[in-house]
Amino acid sequence: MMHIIVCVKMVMDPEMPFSVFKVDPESNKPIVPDGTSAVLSTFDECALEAALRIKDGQDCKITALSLGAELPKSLLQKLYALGADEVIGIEAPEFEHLDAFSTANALTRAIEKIGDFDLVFMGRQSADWEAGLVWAGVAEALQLPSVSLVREATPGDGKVTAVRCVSDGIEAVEADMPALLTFTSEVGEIRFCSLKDMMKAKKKKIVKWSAADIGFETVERMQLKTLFVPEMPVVDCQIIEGDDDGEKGRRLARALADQGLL
Amino acid sequence: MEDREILEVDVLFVGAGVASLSGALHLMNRIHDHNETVASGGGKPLEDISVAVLEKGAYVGAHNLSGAVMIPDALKALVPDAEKTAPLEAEVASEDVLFLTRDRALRFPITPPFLQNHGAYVISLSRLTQWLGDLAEESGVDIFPGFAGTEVLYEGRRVKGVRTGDKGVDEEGRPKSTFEPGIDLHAKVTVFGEGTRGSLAKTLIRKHRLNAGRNAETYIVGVKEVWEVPEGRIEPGKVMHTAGYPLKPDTYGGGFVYGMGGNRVTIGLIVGLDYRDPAMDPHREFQKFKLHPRMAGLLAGGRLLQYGAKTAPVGGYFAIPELAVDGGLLVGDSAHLFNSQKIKGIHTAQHSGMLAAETILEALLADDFSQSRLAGYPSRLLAGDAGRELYRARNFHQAFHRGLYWGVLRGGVQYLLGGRDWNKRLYTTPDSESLEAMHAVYGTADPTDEQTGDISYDGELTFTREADNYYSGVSHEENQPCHLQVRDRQICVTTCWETYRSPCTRFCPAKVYEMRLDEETQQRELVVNFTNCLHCKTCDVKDPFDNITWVPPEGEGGPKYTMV
Ligand SMILES: Cc1cc2nc3c(=O)[nH]c(=O)nc-3n(C[C@H](O)[C@H](O)[C@H](O)COP(=O)(O)OP(=O)(O)OC[C@H]3O[C@@H](n4cnc5c(N)ncnc54)[C@H](O)[C@@H]3O)c2cc1C
Ligand code: SF4
Repeated sequence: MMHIIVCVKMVMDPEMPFSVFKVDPESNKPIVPDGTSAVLSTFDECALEAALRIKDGQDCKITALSLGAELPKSLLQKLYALGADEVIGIEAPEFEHLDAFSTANALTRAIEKIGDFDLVFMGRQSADWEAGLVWAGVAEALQLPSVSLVREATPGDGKVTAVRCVSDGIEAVEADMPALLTFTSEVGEIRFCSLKDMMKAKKKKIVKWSAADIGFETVERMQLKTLFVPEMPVVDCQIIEGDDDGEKGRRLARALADQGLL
Repeated sequence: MEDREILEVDVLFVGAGVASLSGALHLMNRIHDHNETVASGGGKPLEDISVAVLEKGAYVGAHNLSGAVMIPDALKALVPDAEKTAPLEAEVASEDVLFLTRDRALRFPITPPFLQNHGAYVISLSRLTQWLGDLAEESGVDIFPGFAGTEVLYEGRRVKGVRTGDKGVDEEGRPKSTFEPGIDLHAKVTVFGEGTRGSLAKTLIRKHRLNAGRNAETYIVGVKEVWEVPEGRIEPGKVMHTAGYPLKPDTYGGGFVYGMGGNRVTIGLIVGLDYRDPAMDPHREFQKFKLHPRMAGLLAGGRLLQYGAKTAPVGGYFAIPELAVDGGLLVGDSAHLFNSQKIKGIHTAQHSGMLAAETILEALLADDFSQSRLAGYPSRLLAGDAGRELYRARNFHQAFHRGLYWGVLRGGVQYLLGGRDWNKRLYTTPDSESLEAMHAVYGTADPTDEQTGDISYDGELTFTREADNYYSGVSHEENQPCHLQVRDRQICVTTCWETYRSPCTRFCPAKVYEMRLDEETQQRELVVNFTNCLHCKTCDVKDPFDNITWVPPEGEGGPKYTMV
């Protein structure tokens, strides 16, 4: 049976109004305001959706793997509710503010510990730091062929076909499995979890590992120099109206051209 | 009716507010106590009782907004160490009642007893609700954020549960690729804790005529912001209530300012929705409130953190509907258990949830969920502290229906008389009936900005509704049916426009309603920007033609409050 490991990060809700966001100038670290809830990182949800679509059509096991300083139980349960067969949460205080190298190291070890797999799916980048580095580190450490910016994956016969989004269109590539793929929002609409599945998920056992369980060590190579919230520019919003989408598009293009932006 | 999947639970709470959560947590505690007693003394234990809570917000606390100064009696009864463990901002340290004129503030020499808050706490309701949700989950309650109840399910007259909303439906009502049908949740008893103007509670009250012979429901809307201000500007636990400016003397309401922790201050304005002036814009009045030198000085150099708005029921004792039906109970704001004299409903909501839980425990033991068994709850409630408190304040809001000065006089006399007024019971009319024609108020259908008191917004101290709304974190899936159902769009452009000049475009604190004029045809059209909706329910209450019905949108949509 096909086995897909999906790595899902939990991040501060990017849709919170920016006004609640603060940076501690001393430690250079973001302060998560009281009461702000975490969400599944957007692109990681796309990766999970892509895995679920494969599972819709064939026998497949999905292991969802999440790593962080604090993993809300409700989100781990949501991974079950969405359709993961096993959810592993690796929670440890030292995972707060890891750099991409340490994260890649930790995930690599966790994936090795899980063992047998055909595919590793990730989001193209996390919704909080948006570095987009971790996947490459993991692929390298595990010596896996990797394909980035995928919107659709079709595994079969020891190989996976991945449709990539590139600047001037799409590109289909084939890779030997096991392989690592990263997904973009072009995956399309993400399914909802049903109340019934949420109910069942609350009864499922979440596998919990510690940092020691995966033999984690930091390999920090990047240090943050400064972090600040920029002054909000004053935005003058202009709404382009038109009878239909074509008309609106033409008017938008004209408005942009008029301002020398196109 | 199409068949939906059915799920059964024992007890279902609709809405994860303080009323429901206190009820659910208390029920779990009481079941636990019962089973312990039974284990040592014999009897029938209650095993595997499933208690579920539906919440339309994306997370518990996302849709909960209040002042708030909270009386902690119920909370302490529920969680004995709450004063140490709950997210309380500060104990009330000092309090002032001010009468404002445009540029002056006169301090009332004494704080009226009903506004005294000794021993109370300044809190953020959103935070407190989140915390209570965590406790309830730990005790074994299953909470489902992101799922709205959209229809009450009946078997004859008995409430047998609720249907949850479909997800993944497009604006025309067609299923999208992600379509996820709602389900029918059946329960032995369903508790409606939807807060103010509950959309299901409203249909239940109407269907069963639970308000027969009661006073009409009447509401206030509160518009508020939380600011971060320079260190030392306001002490945590400082409480200030104001009357007067910017509201006209014939409008019920007033301002509030509470010092929170972390150099934050909560500032807001309450406006009675029985106002008569069709040009009234509660958000604009609130912005004017901040322009008062006293408030402007407080906020200078600070920054806005969060914005929000919500209604609260102020009909009081005589507007409380029947609270028990076969298989169903009403709690909290949905049951009109708000004390308008003290401007407080959190503790009464908690009391009601907990007393409902006591009755539900008895019902579970007797396996009887009939109206007569469940009626134990209203009896307990009205005979208890919360009921007595509401009774004493029974004529308070009605006393203000002729405006501030008259109301202060009557409200004050009532206080001395323990709620008795010259006449026994003061009646109310629905807020949708109180508007006067624009012409009657201003002598013209199109008053000038000066006449209506319009201001310009500077983006530093005062914000437009669009700008403010951004600070509420509100969002909704755009491609879904509009959840603000306008029954008759013709009235909007005819009678309503002619008489009132579209008051919905002003009373909505999120600017959801706009009137567009087509330049070519000179036709007007109502535009409903539902994605901005803060779920405050003002439109459902105040529309002069009862033309707008608020129904829950797709689950998770709405504001994302964390500190209001
Ligand atoms: C401006 C303002 C100031 C106030 N100041 C104070 C104060 O200082 N002190 C005080 O004690 N009280 C104050 N109150 C009153 C107090 O906030 C309320 O009485 C209290 O919150 C009521 O609690 P509740 O649980 O009944 O409702 P809520 O706290 O409103 O909770 C109801 C919940 O149900 C959810 N819900 C609604 N419908 C559905 C549905 N169909 N499906 C699923 N979920 C649903 C909502 O999203 C919400 O989370 C104030 C109120 C306002 C508006
Ligand atoms: S549309 Fe209605 S419920 Fe929504 S914010 Fe406006 S007045 Fe409130």
